[in-house]
Amino acid sequence: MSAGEEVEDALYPIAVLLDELKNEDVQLRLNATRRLPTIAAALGTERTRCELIPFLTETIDDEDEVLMALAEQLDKFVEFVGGPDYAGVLLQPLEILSAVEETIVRDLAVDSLRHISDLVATTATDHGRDMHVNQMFPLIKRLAQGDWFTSRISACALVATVFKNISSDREDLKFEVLTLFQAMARDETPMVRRAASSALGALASACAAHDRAWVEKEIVPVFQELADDEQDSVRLLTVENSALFCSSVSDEVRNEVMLPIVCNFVNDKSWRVRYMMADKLVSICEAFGPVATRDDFLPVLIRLIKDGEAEVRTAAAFKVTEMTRLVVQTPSDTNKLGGKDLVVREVLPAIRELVTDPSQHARAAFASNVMGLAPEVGLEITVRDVLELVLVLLKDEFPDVRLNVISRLDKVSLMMGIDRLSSELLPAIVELAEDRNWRVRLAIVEHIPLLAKQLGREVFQDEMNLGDLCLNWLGDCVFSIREAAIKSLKELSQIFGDDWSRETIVPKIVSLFSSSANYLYRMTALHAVGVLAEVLSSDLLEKSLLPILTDQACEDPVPNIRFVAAKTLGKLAPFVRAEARESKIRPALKRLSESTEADADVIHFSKEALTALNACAP
Amino acid sequence: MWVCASDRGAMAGAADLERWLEKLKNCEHLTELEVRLLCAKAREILIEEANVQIINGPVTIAGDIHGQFYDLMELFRVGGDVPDTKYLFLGDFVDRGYFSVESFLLLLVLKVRWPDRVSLIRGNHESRQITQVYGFYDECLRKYGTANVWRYCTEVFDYLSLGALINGRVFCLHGGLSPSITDIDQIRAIDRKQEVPHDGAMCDLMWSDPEDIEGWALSPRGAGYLFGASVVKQFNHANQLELIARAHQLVMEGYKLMFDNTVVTVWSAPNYCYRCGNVAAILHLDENLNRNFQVFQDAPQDERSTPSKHPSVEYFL
Repeated sequence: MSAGEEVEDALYPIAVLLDELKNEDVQLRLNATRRLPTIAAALGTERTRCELIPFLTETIDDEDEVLMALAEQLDKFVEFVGGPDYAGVLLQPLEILSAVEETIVRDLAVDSLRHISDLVATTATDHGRDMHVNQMFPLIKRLAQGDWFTSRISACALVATVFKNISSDREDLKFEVLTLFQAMARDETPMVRRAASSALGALASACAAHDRAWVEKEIVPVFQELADDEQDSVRLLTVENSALFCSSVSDEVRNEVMLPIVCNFVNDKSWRVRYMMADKLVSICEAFGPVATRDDFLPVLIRLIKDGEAEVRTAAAFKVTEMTRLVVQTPSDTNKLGGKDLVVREVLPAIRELVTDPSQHARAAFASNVMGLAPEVGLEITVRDVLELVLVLLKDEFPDVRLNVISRLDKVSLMMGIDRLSSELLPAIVELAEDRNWRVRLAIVEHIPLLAKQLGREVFQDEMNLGDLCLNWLGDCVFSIREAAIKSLKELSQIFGDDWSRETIVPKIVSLFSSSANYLYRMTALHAVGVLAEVLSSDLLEKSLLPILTDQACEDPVPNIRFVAAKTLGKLAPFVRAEARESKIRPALKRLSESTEADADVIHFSKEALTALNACAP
Repeated sequence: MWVCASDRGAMAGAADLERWLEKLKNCEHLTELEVRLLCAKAREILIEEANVQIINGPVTIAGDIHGQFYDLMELFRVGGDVPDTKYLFLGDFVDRGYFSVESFLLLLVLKVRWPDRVSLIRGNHESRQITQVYGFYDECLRKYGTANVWRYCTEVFDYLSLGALINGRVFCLHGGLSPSITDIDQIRAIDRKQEVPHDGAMCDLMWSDPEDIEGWALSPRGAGYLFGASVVKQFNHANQLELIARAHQLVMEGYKLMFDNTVVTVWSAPNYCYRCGNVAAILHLDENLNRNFQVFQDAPQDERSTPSKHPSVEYFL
């Protein structure tokens, strides 16, 4: 074989792939497009630049899915064309892709352009960086002035990156980028104005890094116009960009020009804008600082909580904890109240209404936040004002509301003294122990050990009888509740010790096994023995629990019980003394693994358990 | 990755099954080779089973699943895990939901791992024709790039039983009765190893519905029949049954008793098609065939995910 033929052979798969790029079958074109890096690597940088890229540019596909793949692949192509200094050749195909009709393709192309631009700006030589002046700027200008609105949308998404990456000695071009942006912000197509609106934050940041005066002089007026746009979809994007935008201007402009604009969003006639305001309120407050939060945005929060639309109230309810944290940090001065006092005077009365909000979603959102208030406002205010809200929410008819409160119970209960906890919060919790929704019950079951630690044995067992409550869950109709109850019982045994377990848990498990006609509950008893074995004394295990397994469960008519008994005996083996292992467990397992046993799974699990038994130290 | 299994004679051992189970419980799908091995093993087990499986209670009965993987997980959370809890699934494992592949293969691994603790019977969606229309075929193609997995699974479908008899008293099947069947023994005589036919006894068992009518009527579904209380009374009397348990029809409350508690529909796909707003149920029959219905809702949003758009199988040169 000659050297020439060898090269031909090596390139043969590449020829196939190039063929497939032109194939009629979309799937083949798509697959080949995804393998472009392979083709490029085989061709080498020179031929990729001079042949493959022009070929791709010329034969650009008409199938969106292929275009999507192409836009994605070109993103990784900088290395294949010879590094950042040559990245310019990728711009032409990406420019075409960023003007097509399909949004996803455009977005991917714009992502790739931004990525390549940043890569060139940070890693190319001076010569390579000229790409921004020579190619990128003309590109964005063509897109911005394109006839079809899709290219103008892509241009909006590129302005911040291009502005940032044009070298600072070409201030004229930077300024022209701003001019292009201003024109697009006044575009007659709402979609373009929407794209301009989305770009406000990033462009303001990029521009502030160059010259903050430009932001204030050139972009603030654009923000003002877009915030007042006739389309609510444009306005709500300005809300979304407010926080980032406002951190790019001087304190003076922020407080005197931006503050009234941003505060005014709460008066917008479109609920979607008000919703966005509620959603972004925390980051906006952080951008404006504590004084504006106290004087201007707290009233905004209260307006939003009382909004006519349930969606807006729900979004506001989700922010209650975070907003309270910010309000607590506000200063008090001679004529203005701040800090916790302000929370008590303004926030608490407002959120009280959320408890009885007609929308279940608003109540559920508030329920997920109300517990977070406790650490923010402190014990005194929690007990005086927040607790009653919690108690009402715990009785809400909508299960998500109850669940949201219960699953964050630790935040409040940890703060409260035993007296308060047992007299005020606990009765409500106990009532929920039989809630229809099993996830509510689950949240309570899992909370029991924490309560046990806080209350101590006397209150937990003697006064509140919570131990019995936990034992009752062993008879729950939902498997997960029974399993969670077993886990909680194990923790209770660790907290209260062997004596308590002997008096409280053990008799209940014994009777659960012997009195249950349904095998699922007999099985629960066995599962409980297996788990509790890890924490109970071997004496208690051998005397009270082992007989259930060896005498009763191994003889059970239901094979499932027999093999669970075998599994449990295997688990028990390390926790009992050698005497019991040999005199009780081994004979029982032997019996179960004998040929008189008809069920294959029983034999399987008994043999497994015998292996576990043999592994125990003699 | 499993590489040692060659095509010939590669068998699924207990360790493989445990590993597959672990993958499927996390809703990850098996490789094409793994599916082939699993399906071969499953066919070996299913071929031994009768058209009407004999099941000893206690057992928990589940109805349609329809590829709602995360709701199937919820079902196990409510009913308990295999093998400790014994299950009978009444068919319609695939189609409509996003995770037919994972749901069916999970049930199949459980069946192969614990043949005496899990029983699967065939539903009308366990068919080549129906799965090409209602999603399972497309899902296989999307997730694997080829139709092989669909082919392996549909071969298994042909081996699934047509019904089950619990303690001789409760007759379980996917759809309902057939005018050509008066005695359960007639079902035992069917040659079931074939695609679901367009008519006849085998078709009816998977397609019929109970209805408040007198005797028999044509089904609006275009296959199977509608049957009334008198038909059930006669059938139950002739076969000494106390209950017919079936699935096949969405019931908003999860289960529905009819005809003086002699027929029950069990539906186990909560919020069917992710939009119907129904609850689901399983029926637990204890040692004495006492009935306990357990109703459950769809899994919470944060416990499930939607499938990614990209095919997971890469294209190789």
